[in-house]
Amino acid sequence: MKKQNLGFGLGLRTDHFHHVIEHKPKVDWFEIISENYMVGGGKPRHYLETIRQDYPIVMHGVSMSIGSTDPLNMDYLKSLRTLAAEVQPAWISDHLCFTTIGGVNSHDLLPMPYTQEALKHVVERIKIVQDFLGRQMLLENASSYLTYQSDEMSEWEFINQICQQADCLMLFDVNNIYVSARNHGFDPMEYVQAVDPNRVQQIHLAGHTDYGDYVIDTHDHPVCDPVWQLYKETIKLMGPVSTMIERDDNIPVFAELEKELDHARALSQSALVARNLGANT
Amino acid sequence: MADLKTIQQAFIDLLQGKPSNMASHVQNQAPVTTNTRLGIYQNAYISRLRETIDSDHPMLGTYLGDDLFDQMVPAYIKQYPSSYPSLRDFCQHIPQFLQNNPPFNAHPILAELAAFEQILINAFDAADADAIGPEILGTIAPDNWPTMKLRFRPCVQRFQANWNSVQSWQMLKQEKQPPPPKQLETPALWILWRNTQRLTEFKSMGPDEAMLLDVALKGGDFADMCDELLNFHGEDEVAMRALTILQQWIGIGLIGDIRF
Ligand SMILES: [Fe+2]
Repeated sequence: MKKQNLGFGLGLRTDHFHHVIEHKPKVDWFEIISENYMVGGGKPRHYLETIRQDYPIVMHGVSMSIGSTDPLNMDYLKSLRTLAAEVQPAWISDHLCFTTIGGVNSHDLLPMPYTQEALKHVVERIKIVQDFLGRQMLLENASSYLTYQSDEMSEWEFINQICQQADCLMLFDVNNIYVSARNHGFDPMEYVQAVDPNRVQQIHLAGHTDYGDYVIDTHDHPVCDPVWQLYKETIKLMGPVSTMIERDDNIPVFAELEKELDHARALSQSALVARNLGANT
Repeated sequence: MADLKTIQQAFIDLLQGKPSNMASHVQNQAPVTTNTRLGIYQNAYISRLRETIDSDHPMLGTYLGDDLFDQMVPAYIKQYPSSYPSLRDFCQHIPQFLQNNPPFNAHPILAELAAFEQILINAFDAADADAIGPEILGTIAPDNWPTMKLRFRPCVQRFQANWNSVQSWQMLKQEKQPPPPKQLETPALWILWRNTQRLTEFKSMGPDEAMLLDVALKGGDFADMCDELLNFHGEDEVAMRALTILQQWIGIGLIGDIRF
């Protein structure tokens, strides 16, 4: 079951703590990187405690390693559950990928082979995690730079099956779809059209770096036009979805991100109009 | 077809620079070669860990200079690959690495400088706890003083330097030339903590203060502290000296609680 639509949010970054507390900007919600707050105390925890009085928070993790053949890291899951009890997020997300193998953490979102074996493995683990956390979780589609020989289905078939079989939700990263489409030569619209809209709880928008023959998901640029276009098509198809902009590097002043977020609002608005008109004809 | 575990192991082996048949698991998708595709992941792995070392150990990086830093990074990544969910824990073995590996182990100040930077991070991230104020001392009944025990705030850290590492850190921080490495005649003792503005501070301690800190950290009470001070001061001075130090500690916000 999808939760409420939070509107338009931003990733909460250290550089903007003071600005957010002082100016209480018109942002509907913030997403935090869970791992950055899994410390005893100090500045980030202190600021988060203040900011969460005024804004809904969602938690986004990078270390669950849900697709790994290593055992689930129960210490990590306990820290995540403890943090969630304190932060009371609207929801918790991580990525459809593996990060740790043989105890070595790559600190990267490594792509899964899209096989029946991997599907079964991920579904089992999500069920365990959801039981442990006592809530449904969101899985995000990661960008990828390679395709496995062993693939038996497309990424969107794989992710649809996971959401259905594990009864989890999806964090739909429009930029990652664009990046992967460019890197693997598929039509991103095919992906957008295939995903079950009833599972899409949240959208990520971000910038990337274009190397011509391939694209890298760097989160250090403004969102580019083709990604905006794809976002508009996504909303047209899916209806309103909580949307946010991820910026992790080369972080600009807050006002610049607000401007980008306003653009997302406007695009979503016009996409919804088009959607309603389409429905009436 | 290769199973999930085989593919994942090949991937991590590739990232770690070990022999790996990862390329054989990857589809050829022109125009980008498989080597380029694998290279994207290899670069991301190394540069992410490198950036972490750079940001956790800024003064060590400056002290080493580019060439030695470039030599340290891949060797450290190889010897101590990350096994933690958070990158904040990745650098914790750097002091040990510098102590055990040439050419770094020829310069003991390097491991010490790295250890100091680690302790600064620990103080910065430690759990929050309120500090008690000076008024509390007035509420303690005379009979209770000997059995009084101090609870330090979790951010309080002790650091012992055998080299001029802290002075070097301070010079580097001010973007000045650090002094040549020098072994100290007697170890220098420092105490680090996070102040009320949540900034990390540190100060040096005299030998008697350091001794008191050790006794208190080990769970000794005020009577034990006074006993140890007899190594430094006359019998009629120890209680007064212990009280003065205690007042200073409370004044800078080191003490979280007092128990009996
Ligand atoms: Fe994302």
